[in-house]
Amino acid sequence: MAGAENVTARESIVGMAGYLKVNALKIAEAVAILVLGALIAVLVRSSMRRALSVRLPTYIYKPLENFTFYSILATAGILALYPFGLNLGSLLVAGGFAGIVVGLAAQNSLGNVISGLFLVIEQPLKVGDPVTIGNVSGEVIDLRVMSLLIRTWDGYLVRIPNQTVFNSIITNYSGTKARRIDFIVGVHYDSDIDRAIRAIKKYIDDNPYCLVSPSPEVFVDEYADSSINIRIRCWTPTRMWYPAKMDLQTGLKKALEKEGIQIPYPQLDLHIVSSEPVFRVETCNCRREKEA
Amino acid sequence: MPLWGTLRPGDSIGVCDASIKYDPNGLLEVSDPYSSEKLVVRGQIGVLPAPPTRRPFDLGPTVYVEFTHKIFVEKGDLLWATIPVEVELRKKGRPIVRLATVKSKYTLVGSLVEGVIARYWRAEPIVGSNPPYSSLDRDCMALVAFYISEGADIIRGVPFNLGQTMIYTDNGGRLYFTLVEVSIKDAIIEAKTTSKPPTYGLKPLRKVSEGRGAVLGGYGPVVVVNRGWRLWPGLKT
Repeated sequence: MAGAENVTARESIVGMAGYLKVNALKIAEAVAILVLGALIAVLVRSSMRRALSVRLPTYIYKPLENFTFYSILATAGILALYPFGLNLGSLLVAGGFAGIVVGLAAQNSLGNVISGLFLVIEQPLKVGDPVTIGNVSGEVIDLRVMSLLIRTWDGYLVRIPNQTVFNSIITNYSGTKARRIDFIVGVHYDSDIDRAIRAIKKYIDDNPYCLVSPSPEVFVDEYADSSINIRIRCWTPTRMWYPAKMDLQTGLKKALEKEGIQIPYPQLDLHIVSSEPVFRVETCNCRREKEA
Repeated sequence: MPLWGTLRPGDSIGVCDASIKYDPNGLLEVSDPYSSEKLVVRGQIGVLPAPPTRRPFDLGPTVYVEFTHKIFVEKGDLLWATIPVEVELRKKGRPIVRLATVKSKYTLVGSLVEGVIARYWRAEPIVGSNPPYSSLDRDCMALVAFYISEGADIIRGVPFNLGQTMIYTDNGGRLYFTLVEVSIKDAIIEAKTTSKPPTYGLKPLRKVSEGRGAVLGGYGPVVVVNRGWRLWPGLKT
C-alpha cells in the first residue's frame, strides 16, 4: 500500500519535473514579464510623484498615480499569460466592451473629472480668485474633483460642474496686477471744460487708489444730447478695484460741485417761435372759385 | 519728548501729517491722512519709524523711488534720496497702530501680468558719498542710499524692497534705511536691499521689550532682507 503511494508520488513529481522541463522557457518568460512590468510600474509611479506632486493637489495626482501603477501591473499580468497560449484578442474584446459600458454610464462624471484635471493643469483660475464664468460672478471657494464652488458677490454658493467651467469663457480678474476703472461723467454745456478736467485730475491725484503708472486719462469723450461727456480712466491695484470705483464715483460728484461744475440730467428744450400755426391749410376749393 | 522713543500718558506728538495724542486717562487718539482712531491703552507705548509699506493699505513691500530728473549713474556711485517713514506704535512688543505720515500713491512697476504694485515716491537724486542732510526737510523723512554696484546708464527711478528692512539713526536723530545695491545690466535694473547701513557711525533702531518702551540706540538683530527685483527695460530712458 505504502509502496503504491510512493510510486504515485514519485510519478507526480516526475510529471511535474517533466512539465517544468518542457515549459521552463515559458515560465521564465512570464516571470521576466512580471518583474519587468513591476519595475516599470514602480519607476513610472515615482517619476509621476516627482513631477505631479508639486503641481497638482493630492486628490488629483494620487488617483492618477494609482491608476497608472495598477494599469501597468495588470497589463504585465495579462502579457505574462501570453507564453502559455492565452488568447489576448478575446480578453481585449471583453475589456473593450466593459470599458464602453462603464464609459457610457459614467460619461458625465468622467468628463467632469478630466475637465477638473485640465483646469488644475492649465490653471485659468485658483482658489480665492475673483472670476466670472458664464453668467456667474464671484470668488472661487473650492476646486473639487467634479465641480467648482463659487461664492457669488451677494453671498450665494454656486456649484458649477468642471466640464461646464472648462467649456465656458472664464474671466479671471486677478490675472493681472492692475485693473482699469472706466466711466463717464457728463457736465453741463455751460460748464468750463478745462476747469472740470482739472478738478477730476486733482481728485484722481489725491486718491491713493489710482496708480501713477499706467497714468490716468481724463478727456472729452462725446458731445451728447444733454451733456458733454468726460471719460475717466484710472488703473488701480486689482485688489482695490471695487473700493476705488466706489470712491471715485461717489467723490467725483462732490469734487465737481465744489468747483461749480454741474452734472446735468437729460433735458429737452422746446423753442416756440410764434403763436401762429406754421402752415395754413385752406379747405376751400380755391381753383374752381378762381376759374368761375 | 523726542520724536522716536516712548510715549507716556499725557504726551502728544505730531510727525508730519500724523498725530498721536495720549491723554492721562489712557485714551490714545491717532490720526493720519487716511483715518483716525481711538483706543484705550495703559502704560508706555513705543513709537518707532517703520518702512512706508502699510498705509493706507498693504500691497507688498516694494517701493519705487522716481527721481525728479533723469540721472546718469555708473559703477561706484552712491545716490541718495529721501522717502517718508510710517509711524508704528508698539505695546508689549507687538504693533498696535500704524500711521502714514504723508499721503502716498502707488504705481505699477513692470508689466501688467508679471509686474509688481509698488509704493510710489518722487525724490530728488543727490550723488555723493556724504549723506545730504539738507534734503531731510521734514521729520518724517528718511534717507535711502543706492550704491551702483554694476553698469552705467541713465535711470529715472529705482524699485526696491523695504519689507522687513532695518532703520538706522545717527547722533542727530536722522533716519536712514539700509543700503540698496543697484546693478544695471542690459537696460535692466536689479535692486537688492542689503543688511548694511548706508554710511559709517549709524546705529540700528532697536525694538526692546515694552516695559522700557521702544528706545533708540543699541544693536538689535539686523533683519537681512530681500531678493532683488529684476525689472523690465522700461526703467531705462
